[in-house]
Amino acid sequence: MTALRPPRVLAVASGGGHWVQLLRLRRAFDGADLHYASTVRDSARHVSPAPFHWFPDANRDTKLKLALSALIVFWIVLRVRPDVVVSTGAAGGYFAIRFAQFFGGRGMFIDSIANAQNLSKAGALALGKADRTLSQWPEVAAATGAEYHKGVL
Amino acid sequence: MTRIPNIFVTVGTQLPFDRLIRTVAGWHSRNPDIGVSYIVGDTKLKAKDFGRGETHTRLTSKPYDQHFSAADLIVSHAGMGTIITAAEAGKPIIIMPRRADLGEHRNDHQLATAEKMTRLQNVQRVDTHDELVKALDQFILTWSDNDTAKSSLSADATPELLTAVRNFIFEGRSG
Repeated sequence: MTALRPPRVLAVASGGGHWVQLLRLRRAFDGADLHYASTVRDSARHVSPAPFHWFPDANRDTKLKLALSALIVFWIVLRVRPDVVVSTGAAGGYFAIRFAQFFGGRGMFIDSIANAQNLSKAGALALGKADRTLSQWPEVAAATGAEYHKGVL
Repeated sequence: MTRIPNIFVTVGTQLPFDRLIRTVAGWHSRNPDIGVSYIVGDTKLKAKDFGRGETHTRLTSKPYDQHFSAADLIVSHAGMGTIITAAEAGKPIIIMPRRADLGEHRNDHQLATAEKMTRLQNVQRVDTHDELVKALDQFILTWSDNDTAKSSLSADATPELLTAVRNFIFEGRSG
């Protein structure tokens, strides 16, 4: 019998609240071959010695920046080749999940706790595309078809 | 010696909410060593009522963010924006919903918001002066415990969410 290698996980979040929420999932990553990606370079120190990859933040309003962000996320996925992507948003996490799926990986999108009334834009895109899409609010999950397993708080 | 905790109080900038402000200011006068800063909005209270407290009628987003992140505890009306910002930061927040019958708001939607948001672990709801005083006393009593151990960067998600994420990652694997 051969021992399975640990799954390679790419944990992705934009800076600020998304990143704080991702860090609250750390315990779920125990035993994985873990990489992080985020938009604030300084965040690397929160997760050291795990490998950290930076990508530029993108606002949906600026198409060029969004495309650049997607391109760099694609490059990160290409290098890391994750078996699993877990993201707490926003756009960068959605991109990472879609690109990882292209290479045979799986992705879970956990919509930010900030979205108490509706799914975010990225969450709505992830729904039906990501292998799993979760809302942290039971009312939002019920209204959209997202899953609900409580939340980061 | 532990650091002195900072409390950031905000009632937004629209309607007055002196029931909350007055309670915190009164409590602060009995606990003058605690750092307290306020966004008081439209208030009848005078500068002297706030003692050592730092007051602002309003704050632009950058100083607001600075006050918010420097705070160890947020005390707020049950405004969705403030509660969500505290949730994103994993910061403890005491909320007191405004009441229409006391002229604190045009309707009672903050009661519904408070009801919904109390589900979050970082949110404590109070409805009266006495409950707010008790919650503030309790915060100071437990302060040394939640100083670093419960900081937003080290805390865990709910066991249910951790299990869901873990099961997804290790799906089909025995280890």
